[in-house]
Amino acid sequence: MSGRRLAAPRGSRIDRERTLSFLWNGRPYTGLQGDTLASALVANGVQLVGRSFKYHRPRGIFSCGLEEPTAIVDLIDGRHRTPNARATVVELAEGMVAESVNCWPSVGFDLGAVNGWFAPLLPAGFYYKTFKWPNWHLFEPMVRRMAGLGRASLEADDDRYEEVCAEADVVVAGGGIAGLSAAVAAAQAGAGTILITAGTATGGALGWRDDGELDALAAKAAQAGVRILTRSVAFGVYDHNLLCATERLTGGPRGPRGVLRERLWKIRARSIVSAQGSFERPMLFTDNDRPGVMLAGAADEYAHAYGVACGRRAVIAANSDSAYQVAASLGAAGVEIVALLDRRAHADIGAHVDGVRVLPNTGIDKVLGTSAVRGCVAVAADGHGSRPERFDCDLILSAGGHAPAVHLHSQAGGRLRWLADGAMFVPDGAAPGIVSVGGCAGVFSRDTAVAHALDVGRALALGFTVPSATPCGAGRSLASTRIADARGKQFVDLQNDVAAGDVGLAALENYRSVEHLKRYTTTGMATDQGKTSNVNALVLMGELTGREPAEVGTTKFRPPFVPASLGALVGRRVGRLYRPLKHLPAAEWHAAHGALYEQFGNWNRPAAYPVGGETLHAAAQREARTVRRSLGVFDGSPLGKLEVWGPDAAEFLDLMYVGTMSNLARGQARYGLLLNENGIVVDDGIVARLDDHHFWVNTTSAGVERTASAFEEWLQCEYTNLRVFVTPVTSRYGNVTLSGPKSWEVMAAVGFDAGLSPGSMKHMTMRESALGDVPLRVLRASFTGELSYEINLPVDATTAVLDRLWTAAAAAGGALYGIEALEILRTEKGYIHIGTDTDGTTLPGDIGFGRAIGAKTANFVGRRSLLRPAALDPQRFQLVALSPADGRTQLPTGAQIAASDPPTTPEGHVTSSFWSPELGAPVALGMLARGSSRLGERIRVHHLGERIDAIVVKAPFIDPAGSRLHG
Amino acid sequence: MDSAAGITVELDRGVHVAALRYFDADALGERIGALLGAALPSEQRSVRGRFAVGDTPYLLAWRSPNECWVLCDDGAPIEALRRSLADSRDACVVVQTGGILALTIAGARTRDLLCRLGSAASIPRTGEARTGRFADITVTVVGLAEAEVLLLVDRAYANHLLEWIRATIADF
Repeated sequence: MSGRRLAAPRGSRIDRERTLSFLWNGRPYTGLQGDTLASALVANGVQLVGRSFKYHRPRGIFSCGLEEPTAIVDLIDGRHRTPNARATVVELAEGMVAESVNCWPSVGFDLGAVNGWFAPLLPAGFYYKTFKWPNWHLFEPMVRRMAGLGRASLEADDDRYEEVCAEADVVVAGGGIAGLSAAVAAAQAGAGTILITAGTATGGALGWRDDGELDALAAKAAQAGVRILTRSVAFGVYDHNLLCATERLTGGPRGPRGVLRERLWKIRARSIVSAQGSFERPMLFTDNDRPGVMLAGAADEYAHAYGVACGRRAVIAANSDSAYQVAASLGAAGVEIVALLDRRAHADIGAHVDGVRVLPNTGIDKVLGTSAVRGCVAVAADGHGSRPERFDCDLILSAGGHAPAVHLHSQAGGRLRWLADGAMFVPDGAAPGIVSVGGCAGVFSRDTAVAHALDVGRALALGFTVPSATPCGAGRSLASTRIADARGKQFVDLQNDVAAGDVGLAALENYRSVEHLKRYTTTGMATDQGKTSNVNALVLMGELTGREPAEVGTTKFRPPFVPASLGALVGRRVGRLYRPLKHLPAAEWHAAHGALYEQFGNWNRPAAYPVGGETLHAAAQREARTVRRSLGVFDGSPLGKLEVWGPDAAEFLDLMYVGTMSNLARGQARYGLLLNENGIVVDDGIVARLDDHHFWVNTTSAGVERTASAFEEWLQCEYTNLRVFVTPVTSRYGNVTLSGPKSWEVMAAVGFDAGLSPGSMKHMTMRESALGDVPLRVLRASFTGELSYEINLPVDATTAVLDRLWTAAAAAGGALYGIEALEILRTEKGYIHIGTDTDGTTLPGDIGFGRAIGAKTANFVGRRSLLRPAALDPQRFQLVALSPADGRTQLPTGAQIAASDPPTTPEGHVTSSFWSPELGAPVALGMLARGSSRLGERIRVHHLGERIDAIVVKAPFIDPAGSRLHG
Repeated sequence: MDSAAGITVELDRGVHVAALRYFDADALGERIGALLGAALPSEQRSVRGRFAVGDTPYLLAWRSPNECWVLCDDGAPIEALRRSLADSRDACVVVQTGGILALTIAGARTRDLLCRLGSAASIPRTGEARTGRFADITVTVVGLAEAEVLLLVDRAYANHLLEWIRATIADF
């Protein structure tokens, strides 16, 4: 292939006045405004652009569009790389830097090509059979290094991406003449219409031609108000007519840095029209992957759209009438057509071209040349007849027929049928919500396609019955594109290096199902998703197993139709918007008081308040010690809060909790466990009765939304007879918690009502009170084991009250304390933290609530599951307290407990572990098989190859009588 | 207040909010009709009116078949409403002031902005109140006028929503 730039008027997409400079594999080149990277490379005579995935065979440019399997390149911008871009759709930009992938040290001299010598060791599924001895892991690094495509950037992407939602009556995917016709008809009939087109303008496959009808349609579309998204590709159809597309917002691969680069469109449409055209099917012949072998339609498009001849002397290998149009078109552009070798018999050929030697029933036996085409040898396609004939050429064009782009139709659940005449799969009727028009419906007659698309657009807009398409205009093609008795490597899938022999091996080993064929050989995978390979692969499998292509069928097409960048899918969700994070009402106050923030659940909370250069650990130790000896002030605002109200609220809460709540007196509170229907512990908290039919429910900080949703679901789906409202009020109330022996002393000093004193207000009660004009709901409950007050108050008053309490607390020798200190304090007391000490298997009996279950005779969610044999298994993991045998080695959280050294079966694990400042020794909780019956037993804890002996001890570690709770 | 690209975004921290919960909207409407002077909003609608007490303007935004939010600039009418239902077994008022924040967005590109925050299906027309996922969190959006909406958001997530809005507007 010796490409060159053709003279005007060829080149409708380029601007010959504007030259662009770019670097390709380190060498400078120039192109023209409007070029793609591929067209610029061809114009510069570059033939070898990459190396193949497995065998590192030299590869060139194969197509002119998004189906490109071989011209895969990395685009480089300083330290940033965009891997695996298809050179055929990359718009050339000034200063662009691009490199070949999967080759070393260069694309011209690639040491990886040695793989070709070992090809017999690397057949389809080789990794299931070879490199097994002595160990796969010995070979794995080398195999992985040798395979693959581009390299991902190691730098963070500093560009921006966004997501946009839209609604439309009709959305048309594809801006060719059929798509444009459907969009115009729909919009003219009053439908809100969006049209998505990959190019910089509408026109599709015909866009480069001087076509008055297309221009008129584009004008009508604008007039009718069709919203046109250019540089956009619809890549997926999802439930309920959701169509997703990506839009490139910058012309070049990178352009300026830190810009809005791509947009993800999520379009909910009443109807979707698929108009994504078709792909050309390649021919199968020996060495059909050499640089200089390419799709015939692509060579035509390069010539006319970009003014680039892909070669000087071309041979066309044909199985389709479209080859004759290409021969005439390229001939007119100045490319010599040496011969047209038609795989079909004379009777099947429905086209004609003047001045070109046509050889029916002929195919290519082999290609001459390695890194570039030097010629080919033709033989009779059926293995009989005349002698082989050699043709000197630098370009071989492959025209195997049409493969309609049925991807969106299939994604939407549509069925396909095989058209024997055209040798193609087409939609078998319309799928729900989506209609195919034009080439992707198998309609290749222009007039018919336009007429059908107009009817479809109008019918969708007006709610009429949508007319079905009748495939036409493709002529006859044979299912098989290869000659009889072909030898050597005939590549079915150029991107994955899958050859006809690999398909044969799959058939031999009984991977006959098309789904097995795909997974065993990898055909149809990777960035091109088999756009040029799928039909040839399944036709070949049919040949080899005596089945028609229709019997072999196709795999299910799944999104994305074209690769979508991770940036587009992520959109704004990076950095501080990575995920929604909740902020405390007094966040600034805490920051001003030295809070070290960390994320706990979805809250940004103070982990501790280090002073004087303290580490987090040292601060937490100091804070925990201060709480035990004096008092601590804690912002408990994230604590989940629900108001449960209604005549049946008490009955409802009895059903939700393991404990009984209906017998709570007004002002009383009780701890409760929440289970799911499998009996698994999912949350815990405290329920306080405010009134006969009004309850205050505390949940865990991270579990409130989950709990509120579960309550609603039970009310709406199961206990529909109960009259109850569940209203989340977490953000309505701030919560300031005082804990420690001096708690009340400080509250009294601030002016809290004397009725809240420990003598007047018992542990596990709630009182409504006030501090000045601030109404309060004060709960005496404790997660530290110390006298504690949880003061709930209107959120806007939180900072002021917190500040007053802290001023008094500081004067009394108190400390602010964060989550880390709280974890130490609750572990010293043996209090569980749901999600830390429990997991998705923990039942209430495992954490010491067996008696509570036995005591409750009424029904509650999860109760029945607790009677299953697995729930009663005496070997279950049970919560225990653990102390290191040496009294000083802290047990690592997450460490496994096992009787013997690994590998062995664990019998538990450490769930919480801290250094207790009060005891001057480590304290830990863990889950242990038969734990409740192993008090005093010595166990072994294993962590990163080390063994630590520990003793099962009785919890709590501090204040077993619980006297400190009362001040 | 943020203002850029023809859009203004204003966070109103002073708004008073309450959740009005009821089993039967019609029955409740009759009971508190004198107080509200208007019927409760129908599905996905909002209602503007004035409380009989103090002539304070209010906005009712539909949330679900048994909940609507009451918004006004003064806490007294909400307290009056709460007291009027104190003995009821069919309805209650749960004060949410401070827990729910109100964000007013106005300007020609309001719809463009909302399309970049969440589903187009959740964008209300004037007089509607729709609850949907915006900026990955739950937001109730009330259509106040042709190019003016009110976003009602959980206070804890307000920063997240505001940052998403600012990042989006910066690219307009």
